Amino acid sequence: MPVPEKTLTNNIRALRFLNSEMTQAELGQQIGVTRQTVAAIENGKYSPTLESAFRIAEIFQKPLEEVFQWSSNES
Amino acid sequence: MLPRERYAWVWLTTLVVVFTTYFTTLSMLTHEELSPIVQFGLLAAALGSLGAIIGLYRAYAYFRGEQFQPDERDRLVEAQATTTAYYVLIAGMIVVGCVLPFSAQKWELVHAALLAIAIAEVVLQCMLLNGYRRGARA
Repeated sequence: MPVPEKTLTNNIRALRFLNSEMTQAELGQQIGVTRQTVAAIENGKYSPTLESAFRIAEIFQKPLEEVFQWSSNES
Repeated sequence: MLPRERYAWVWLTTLVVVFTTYFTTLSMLTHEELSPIVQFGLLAAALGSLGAIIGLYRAYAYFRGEQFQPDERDRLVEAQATTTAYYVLIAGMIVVGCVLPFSAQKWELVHAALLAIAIAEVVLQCMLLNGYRRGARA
């Protein structure tokens, strides 16, 4: 049975700017990854581990589903 | 560019240059010219230059304060690249260990094994760069 294609999207870029224009490097430092990894997450080229996803949500003080969305490709 | 990505580029370029030069030189020499001492010398020169270039680059990166500690994405990219390179290496080793001994000379086996290792290493670096460039998914 085919599994419907879904992608993980996120609002990290917007949330960074709403949080005193936090840089990717600063966010990366707080969650223990490199700036390039934060950039890859923002661009949808890498899906973070559950731990990092929760850390990011914690930093922005938002629930996980406000930071990450699990959406269908058919739109 | 991430230091680890730059390192992969340096590795890939060095591997391609050193082993292309090595195997081209070998192919240009006649059977009489390829005495064991010449072959040992060529092999030592190839591996020595590979070690020297990589060593110099690591020293340069160290003095520039570049960090090579992997994060979660690096580990994922590395795991996926290593898996692919492992299969290439195994395929090469099957040829070297199970097929060539019936027909090849001693030094041909050495060169074939070295070629298999070099190809697997090139595949590893290419897969690492692909993972960094195009993204990695678990």
